[in-house]
Amino acid sequence: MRDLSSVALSRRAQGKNVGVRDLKTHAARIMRRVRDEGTSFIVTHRGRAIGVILPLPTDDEASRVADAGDAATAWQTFVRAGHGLERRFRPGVSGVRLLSTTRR
Amino acid sequence: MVMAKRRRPHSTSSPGTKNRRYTVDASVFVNAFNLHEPGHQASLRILEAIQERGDPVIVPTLLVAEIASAVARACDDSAGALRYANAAAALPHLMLVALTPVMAREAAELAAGHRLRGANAVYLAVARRYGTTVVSRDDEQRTRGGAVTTCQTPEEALGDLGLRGTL
Repeated sequence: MRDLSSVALSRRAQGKNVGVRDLKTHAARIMRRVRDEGTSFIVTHRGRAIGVILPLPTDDEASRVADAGDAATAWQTFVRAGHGLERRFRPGVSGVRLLSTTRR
Repeated sequence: MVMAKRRRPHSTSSPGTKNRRYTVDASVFVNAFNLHEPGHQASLRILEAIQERGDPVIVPTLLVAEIASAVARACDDSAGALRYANAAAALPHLMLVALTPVMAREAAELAAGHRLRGANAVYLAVARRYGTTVVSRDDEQRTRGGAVTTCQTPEEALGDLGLRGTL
C-alpha cells in the first residue's frame, strides 16, 4: 500500500495531486483532510488532472448573511437599493477609482 | 428495438459554462449602478447573469465594508450605501468567507509573493482557496492576480458565458 504521507498536506497547501486509485483506497482519510484541514486535491487519472476536491467553508469561516430561501426577493431588494443610488452618484466621481485609492 | 434518446432541455448558456464559481470584487458592485461610470451595464449584467445561473459567489467579508465605503464616498449617501452593501451581502448564492488567521496567512503569502495590495491579496486568497474566477474592475488586481487565478473584467466574464451580445 502506498504511503499516504505523499498526499499529506498542510492546511495552506493547494491542489495536491491524488490518483484515482489512491482516492478509492484512501477515500476516508482524504475526505477527513478535506473536512478537518481544509485541504484541496486535484484528482488525476493516468497522470492527467480530471477533477478537483474542494473544502466548503466551515460555519466559523463562512456564513450566508441571508437565507437564500427567497432568491428573487433578495435580488429585487439589491436592484432596488442600487437604483436608489443611481441619481446620487456624482458626475465625474469614479467609485472604482475611489475604491482603488482606499486600497493603496 | 430502437429507443428514442431523451433530449435534455435546451440550455441558453454556452457549452462548458457549467459549474462556474466566482469571486466578484467590490469594484464590480460599486460600478454596477453608477450611470456616470463606463462599464456599469456590463457590471450589472454579470451580477444578474451569475444570479440567474445560480453560480456560487465566494467573497471575503471585506467586500461588504468596501462597497459601503466606496459608494458612500462616491454618492454622499451613507444610508443608501449601507443599504446597498447589505443588500449585496444578502444576495442568494453569495457566500462570505471570514478572514481567519489561516486565511490571513494565505493572503500575506500572496501579498508578499506577488507584491499585491493587502485587500487584493485577501480576495485572491479566497479565490485560490475555492478555485474561483475573479471578476474585477480593479486593473492592478487583475494584472497581478492573473498569476494566482483566472481574473476577468465583467465583459470578459460575460464573453466566457456567451452573453457578451446581451449587453
